Amino acid sequence: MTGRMDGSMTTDRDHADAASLEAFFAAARKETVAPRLELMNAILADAAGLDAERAAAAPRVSRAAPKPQALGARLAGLFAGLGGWRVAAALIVCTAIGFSAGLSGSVSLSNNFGIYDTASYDDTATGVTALYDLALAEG
Amino acid sequence: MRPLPSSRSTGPADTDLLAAYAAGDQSAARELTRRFTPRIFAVAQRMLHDPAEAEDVTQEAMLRLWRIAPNWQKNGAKVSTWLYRITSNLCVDRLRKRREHTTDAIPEMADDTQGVVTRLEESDRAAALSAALAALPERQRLAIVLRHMEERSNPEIAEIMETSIEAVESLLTRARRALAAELTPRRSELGLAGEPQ
Repeated sequence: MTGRMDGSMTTDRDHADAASLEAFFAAARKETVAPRLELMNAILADAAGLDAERAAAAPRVSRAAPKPQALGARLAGLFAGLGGWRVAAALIVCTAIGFSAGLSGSVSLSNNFGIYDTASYDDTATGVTALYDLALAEG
Repeated sequence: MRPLPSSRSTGPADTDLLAAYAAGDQSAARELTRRFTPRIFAVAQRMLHDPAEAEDVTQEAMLRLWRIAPNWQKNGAKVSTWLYRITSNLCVDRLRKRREHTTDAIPEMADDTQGVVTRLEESDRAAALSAALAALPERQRLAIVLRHMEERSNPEIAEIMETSIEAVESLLTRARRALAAELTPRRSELGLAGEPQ
């Protein structure tokens, strides 16, 4: 028995059999018949049909990450959400006026149709101070 | 040994083509068809001796390749080995069904063999071998086709046939003995009288 590079193990008799058959094998290798064009086309049609089925069953979604928008575009989107440039500008102005008025403390608030001066507001009238005093006395 | 179909072709690897097809690239399907259809059709034709059945098997094997493409494991079997295995199994199935339904297939082959003496010598030898092959059990026939006509290595044949290398060796030894017993007495009639045995 002899080992060969292709992983086969052969006896001398098998080697003789293979040698005697080689002319037949060689002739058979030359006899290869090419597949018909119709077969090739049918195979390609199968490939296209399956691909179309897969595409219909699960539409392809682009996996590309969305491009970051420019600052102007993002602001435009934000203002559009608020109702447009004019509405957004009015909102900004009102916010600024309210902020500055809060800082200066010059605006009074109405309470039950009367007027409170926020700068001179005294909570003794509500009795809140008396409650604090009582709590402190009880320890 | 003949190189694998994929290595005879310059260009992308078989697995890359399969992935490209799975992603919707029809040109990859064309290239895979060009690479593999002639090979597996040849195996089917040699196993079945029937062009129509060989075409059916070839189309079915390629259809299974298209189906598995999206789930192909890149580190698994080679595409060629996988295709040979599918083709071999389809052929053996058909041969077994044929054997269940007909009992006179082999005598028909033998009758055909009697007629080949009038043809050209090489064609005669191929036809004589084809007839002798038809008389072998399916797995012996498959082992011979893969080893001596497709020129696959024994380890690859073992992978295709899902068996051990030793089992392939055994199949080949028995098959060659049977073929030699059938064909050696006809060497002179087939123009091989003066050649070494």
